[in-house]
Amino acid sequence: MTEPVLVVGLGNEALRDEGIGVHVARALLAQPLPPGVRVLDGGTSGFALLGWLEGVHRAVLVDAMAMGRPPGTVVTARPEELRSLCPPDRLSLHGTGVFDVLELAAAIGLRPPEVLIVGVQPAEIAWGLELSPALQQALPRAVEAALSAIAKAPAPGQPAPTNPEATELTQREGEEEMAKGKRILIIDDDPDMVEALRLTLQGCYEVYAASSGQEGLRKVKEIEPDLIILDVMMETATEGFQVSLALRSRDPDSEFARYSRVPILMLTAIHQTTPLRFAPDSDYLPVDDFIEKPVKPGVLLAKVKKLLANGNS
Amino acid sequence: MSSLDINVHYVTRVEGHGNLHAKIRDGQLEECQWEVPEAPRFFESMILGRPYYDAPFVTSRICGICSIGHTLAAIQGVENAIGFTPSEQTLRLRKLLLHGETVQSHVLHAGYLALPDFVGAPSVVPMAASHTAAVLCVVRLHRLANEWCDLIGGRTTHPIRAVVGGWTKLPTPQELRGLRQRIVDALPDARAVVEVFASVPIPRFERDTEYLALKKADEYAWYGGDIASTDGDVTPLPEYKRKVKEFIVPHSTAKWARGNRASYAVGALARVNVNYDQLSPLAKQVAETLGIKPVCCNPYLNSSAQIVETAHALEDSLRLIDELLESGLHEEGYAVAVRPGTGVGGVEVPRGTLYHEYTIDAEGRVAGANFVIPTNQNHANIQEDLKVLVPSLAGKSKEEITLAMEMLVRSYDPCISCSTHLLEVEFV
Repeated sequence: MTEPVLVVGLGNEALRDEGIGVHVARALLAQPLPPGVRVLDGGTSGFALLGWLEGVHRAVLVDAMAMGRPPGTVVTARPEELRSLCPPDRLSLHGTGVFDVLELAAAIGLRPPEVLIVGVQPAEIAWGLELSPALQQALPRAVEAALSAIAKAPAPGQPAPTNPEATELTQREGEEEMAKGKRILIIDDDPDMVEALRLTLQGCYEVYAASSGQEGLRKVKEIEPDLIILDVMMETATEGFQVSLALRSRDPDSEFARYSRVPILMLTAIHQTTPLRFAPDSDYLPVDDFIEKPVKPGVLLAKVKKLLANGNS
Repeated sequence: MSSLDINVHYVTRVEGHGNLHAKIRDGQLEECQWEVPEAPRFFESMILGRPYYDAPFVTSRICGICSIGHTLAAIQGVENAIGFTPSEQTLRLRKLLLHGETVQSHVLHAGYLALPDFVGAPSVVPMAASHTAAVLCVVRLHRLANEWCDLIGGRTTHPIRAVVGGWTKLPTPQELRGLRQRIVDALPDARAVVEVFASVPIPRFERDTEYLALKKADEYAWYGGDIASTDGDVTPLPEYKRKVKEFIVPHSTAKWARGNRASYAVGALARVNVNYDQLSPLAKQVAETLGIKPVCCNPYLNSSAQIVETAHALEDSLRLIDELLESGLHEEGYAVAVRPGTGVGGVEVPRGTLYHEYTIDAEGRVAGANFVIPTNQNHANIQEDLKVLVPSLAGKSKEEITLAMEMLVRSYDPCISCSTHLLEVEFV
């Protein structure tokens, strides 16, 4: 017999990212689900959750969670694990916290044997019906995480994570300690791109920006970054290349000699528009890695982490 | 209490943010203030220029608890503006939906938020250990109400089926029969909650107060009616501004209101006071059990009055469902002919009388809007109560006085977020 599974998307969809749970519930309701799975748009009232828990074997609660992570981070975890990792959240404006509701459910014998929370780090909680760009990007991953939580119970005694980013969460605890104080300089003339990168990175790193190659080179001296994210086309079509060549100059008297080992992550959309393929080249394109536009937050974080780790070693 | 300063920032277990301040010097109350610091939200401006049929959906978002009440007040206001008269079937379904919200909200407030005060628990979580059976009754009633609203309105909150002109989708007779049975099955839970409220000590505090509620000749008024005062006067709904005199105070981002006196109260206790004779038989029994007789001027009994109205909503819904089944459900559509005009909607929502006024232009767009929210109407009364309450607590500790003040505010079941969008804004 199939064990009953309840998925509740919680939140206020009139408060932009606060409504991510409701958006996930709607997406789930629009697709075929395994037998025994009930999906509810839980709205804003935390207490309403209690009534639906009776007789449920596994509850999957999808909600915006203030986890101090980059916006759009999706985490699947047991409530206790999540609670230890982030400050107590507010489930909604009108209800009470999800952890309080689960505590109450336990006190009156309604807590299901298995409870998983799919938490999504919001970027913006403000009046409005649309999700922020970061959460629009995260929505498919949140749906995938909910489906994964529906399909797969965590093994007894095992840590909860059921999706890669959740695994990343627990690993990242130690890494964040390492990341503290690391400075990243973004050199890009597109303010929207700078903002998107900043939103992704600012939870873990100190983020600075420059809007031209010249300003970027000046700020390298001022800030002494641990990593540079560098756009190619700015005022000129090759401005990014020139900045990288200046920074990696082989002239021992170069004014940038002391920054020649700072990792450079080159930002480009060129692979989408031409069949040309670029690769790091110490003579002609002295960068450490590329990242494609549009930038996926998970990919950006992974590349930044890797380059910083290489820099440390 | 020769000299005391009480400052409570953000009273807990209420919806939204409100602060309490009291300054007592040599046993005399020098200052007492109920502050509402939340940011205003300007829904009246947001709705301007939008088509008439958007009004219920947009204004429903004013609140996540009384979203059904806002929807229905908007529908009624727009229909009155354009001169549309809904069918009897439509009205019965609207009342049935409103009853669902009344049970949903009253059970939430009385059971989860107010009851811990009366049993001496800091919140419902520790209360669950000592009153497990009662909390389970509350959970079941709340679930029933949520699914009831979902069944009739299409969602647990922010309904989508109730529209200007009628309904986009009707429940089936089978669904109505199922709901009827669930309501019958829930009556023992409701009685159990009544017993809990009858067994807990309710603070004794009385202050002669004017109470306002909608009134109808033929039923306990929820949807439409005249505005009746316990002072004896009756005001037609379209003239609500003559009775409800709004004003602004410096320490509140919400408007306040007065009637015949410096303040008045709306809500469950006000309705029971105004319409006691029209309560259902079960609700009258409950009122008697809980010691409520008109005119009852103890604000702490508002939560008990919510239990009385829960019984009324359950019992009256059985009548409405029977009438709907008896007359048969008919697809009526929701087409309306739009003519320009101004109309007022008045609905009794869980926290009191809600007014929505709309002016619709010749193109069917909203040209003017004004909303008067129940919590706003209670702010001044809360303050007046506090001014009398605090001096009466002489000899109590600071903690006891603070708790009594917080309990008083909570008894009104304020929905502060709902109330903070009413500053007059002049766009030039």
